[in-house]
Amino acid sequence: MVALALAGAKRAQPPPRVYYVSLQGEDRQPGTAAEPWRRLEWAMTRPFLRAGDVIRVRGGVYREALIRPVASGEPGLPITVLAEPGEQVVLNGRVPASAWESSGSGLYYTDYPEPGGFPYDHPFQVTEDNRLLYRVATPQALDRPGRCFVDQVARRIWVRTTDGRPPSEHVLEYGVAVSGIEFRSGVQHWRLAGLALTGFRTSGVLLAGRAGRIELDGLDIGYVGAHRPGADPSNGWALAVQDTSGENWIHHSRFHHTLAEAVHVSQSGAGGDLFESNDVRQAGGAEWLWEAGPTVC
Amino acid sequence: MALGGRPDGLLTGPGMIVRGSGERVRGNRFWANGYHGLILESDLTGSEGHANPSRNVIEGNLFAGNGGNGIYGDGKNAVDPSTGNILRFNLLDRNNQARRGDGDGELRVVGNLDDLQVYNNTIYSENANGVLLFAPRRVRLSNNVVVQVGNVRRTYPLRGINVAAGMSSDFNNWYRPGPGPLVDWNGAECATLEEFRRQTGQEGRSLAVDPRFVSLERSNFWLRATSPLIGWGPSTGGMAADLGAFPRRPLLEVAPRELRLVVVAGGADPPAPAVEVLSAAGIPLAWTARTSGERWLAVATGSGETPARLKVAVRAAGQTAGVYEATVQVAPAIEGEPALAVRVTLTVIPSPARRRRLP
Repeated sequence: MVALALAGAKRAQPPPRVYYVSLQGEDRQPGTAAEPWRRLEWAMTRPFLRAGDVIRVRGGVYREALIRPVASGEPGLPITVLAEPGEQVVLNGRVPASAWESSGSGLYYTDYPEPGGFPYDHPFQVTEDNRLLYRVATPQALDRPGRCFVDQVARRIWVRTTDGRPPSEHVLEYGVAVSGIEFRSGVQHWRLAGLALTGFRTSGVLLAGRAGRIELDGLDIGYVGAHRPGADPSNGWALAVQDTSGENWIHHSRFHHTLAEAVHVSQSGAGGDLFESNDVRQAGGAEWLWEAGPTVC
Repeated sequence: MALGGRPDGLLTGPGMIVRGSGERVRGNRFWANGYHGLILESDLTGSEGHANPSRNVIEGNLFAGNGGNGIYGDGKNAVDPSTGNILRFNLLDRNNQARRGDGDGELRVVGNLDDLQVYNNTIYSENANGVLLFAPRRVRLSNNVVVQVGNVRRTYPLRGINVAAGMSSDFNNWYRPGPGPLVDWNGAECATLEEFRRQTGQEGRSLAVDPRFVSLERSNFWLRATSPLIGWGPSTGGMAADLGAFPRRPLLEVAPRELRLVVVAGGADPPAPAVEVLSAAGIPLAWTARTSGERWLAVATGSGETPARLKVAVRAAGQTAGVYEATVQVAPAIEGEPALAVRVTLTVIPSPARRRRLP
């Protein structure tokens, strides 16, 4: 037993490695500073990641979703995903909406592709310049500015912009993905620092499936939620902590502009989580929805 | 999921829901959320199963300007109560922006939250009750400061509905600057704390006085030096003896606290050193400065506002060789606030020519 312990103690721990992700990279590259990877999802799901590894992410908008890490770090040696200091890294679950056609009377439409199946969905949120358009239940209700209608049969988005100008003069996007980053399947010991997440239906970051000991440091998660005409809003949490092995540390982060509670902590976790020095504001959509009126038209 | 709250029908969400146990929520800011700031909630029928949140510590947070309650503790009527939760050192400031009325509170506790400890919180209410207890179990309130300034009908600093035995409350300050009863307890209004004591036996050592906050205009709820709440409460079990969420500490920070200057007799005055005058209270503070009266010492200005650099001038002309001591006193421009002293030591050494003549 002693010999085994000594052998274990002597075994050399390979040094942590640093990988790089950039919008100018390619996933088939080795992930070095000179030849970075392209996708955050690719980087965070590499099975060969090990304790102490660091993924440095260059600034830019990464239009990705449903990132589910598989490797785990170790106590004191998390796998770290770090936005390059001074650079804004945004994980945006929304898709740019383009190729708008006018149908007259200030109404515009564009078609969207068939959703790939859960966890991708028909468009649940349509934003104009990062503000949620008011989603109505029937095309007839498109009678006021700042409204949208999603025809799931024809796979067509209809909008009446807030100022009557064509959509091409704004930035219009629609969200189709359930969540941004999900720690599940017992994954342990990760640290995310400095990332921004936006444009998801259910949660920006989800800690579930007995994952735990995840540190979220300086994240900005907002504009999360589904607006369903004629029904209660679905959930829409910036951060959801469910069924974890506990001891997560969420600190110095901003959670805001959600349709449900910005931070949701369910009873099924092991507890011992620390939520510290975060800024939690504007949950409920009141400041986010273009039109503050009754949900049911 | 919690929904509802806005009178215009817009469905809204709270800042945070805690249904888990053993969680710590510390030093966060919950503000401008559409619904409650934080909900500590049992869940009997939710999709996530049975919940009795227990042993959670909610401390040192700010809940301000939310649409609903600052903190809503909802134990429901679970067969197994939620137990041992602690709410302490939180500031609940003018929530219920979308829920004005007698059925709400800055802190609202409902149902089966057993052995809930609520201490050293500061609560300032305009639109609802300060603290509303609805059929509470064993709730223990201590060292809290509750001010209710609104004129919403049937709202009070403290309101209890269907309160049974088992609750204990003492060493709090319940204050209502305007007219109206202080407490409503099971439907009976009590105009004074004394009347409430007689009826319930609670609040034996509590107060009903102006807490003397530093600045309501700037939402600063620190206690002034003249506050009667300083040192009033017990300090056992993690409680601070000063009532409320902000144990008393000096309002200003002054650095350095000591200046040592050396000049040659008959020589030029030294460059005027500066003292940093900063607010420790998180808001700009007006201050005054004066010296202890020695003619060799002066301050560039007698007053200012934080943050500031206060220049201290030494006029050594005429001072013979020796060591001189004096102080600069810097105090917040608030009645009764103590001054912080900066000790100034001036050493005047003989000029070289004079030293040569010494035996």
